[in-house]
Amino acid sequence: MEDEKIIELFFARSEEAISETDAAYGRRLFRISDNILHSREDAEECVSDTYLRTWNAIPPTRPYSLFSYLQKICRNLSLTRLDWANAAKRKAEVVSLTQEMESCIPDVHRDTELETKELGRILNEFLETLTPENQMVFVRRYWFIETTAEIAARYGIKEGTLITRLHRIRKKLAEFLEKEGITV
Amino acid sequence: MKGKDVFRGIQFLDPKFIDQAEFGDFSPEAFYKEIDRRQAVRKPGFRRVFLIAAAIALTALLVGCGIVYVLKMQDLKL
Repeated sequence: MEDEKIIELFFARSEEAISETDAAYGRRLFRISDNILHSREDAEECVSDTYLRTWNAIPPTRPYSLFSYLQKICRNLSLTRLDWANAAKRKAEVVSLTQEMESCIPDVHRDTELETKELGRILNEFLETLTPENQMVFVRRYWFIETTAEIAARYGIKEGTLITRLHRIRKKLAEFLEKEGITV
Repeated sequence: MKGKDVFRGIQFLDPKFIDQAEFGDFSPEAFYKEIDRRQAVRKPGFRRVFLIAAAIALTALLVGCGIVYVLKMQDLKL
């Protein structure tokens, strides 16, 4: 079913909206949550909570893209649920990704007041400067929290080349953040 | 600010990037094109220039030796 029709079902307060959303995006939502939590039960709960939040938010909200709207809710719920200390012990992918991100920031102790929303704006501006291919691999790595092997297989590219490319993108991001005033 | 903040900052990504990454695709050739471009604009390094000069010098030496050898064979004086 098309997104517009699913959104109309939410507006009509039809419970079919949930089953249609699950049929269209359930697997994808589960995947991102499982990538973060590495727990089937927790991921399933996050997906269910995502549907509940969406049900409560639509209406009045009418998302521009239902998929990214659901993804944002599910990702945030999963990150909130994540036990960072345990994740570090398990060497989860999400922890190594935050460490990669930390390497992009010139000084991790300053600029603590910078709001994440402002950071989101800067990241959007940064992504606009990249080629579509680089945008896609960056988003798959840091939004969808996929491993480099998964991304390489998805696009049919060499993993080594992808790792080098991501390293270059992070270097560019560090320069971009510095230009935006996030400096030592 | 910590990496976790940057990670959370990503939540404000423009939906178009998320949709593009999920539903879009690209050919491996397009991905590698950037590397080709970078190699094309790369200036010849010292090592490369040195190797070319050495190859030219060696070729000139060989040709010179060849000429001297042929002239000697013909018993001619330079």
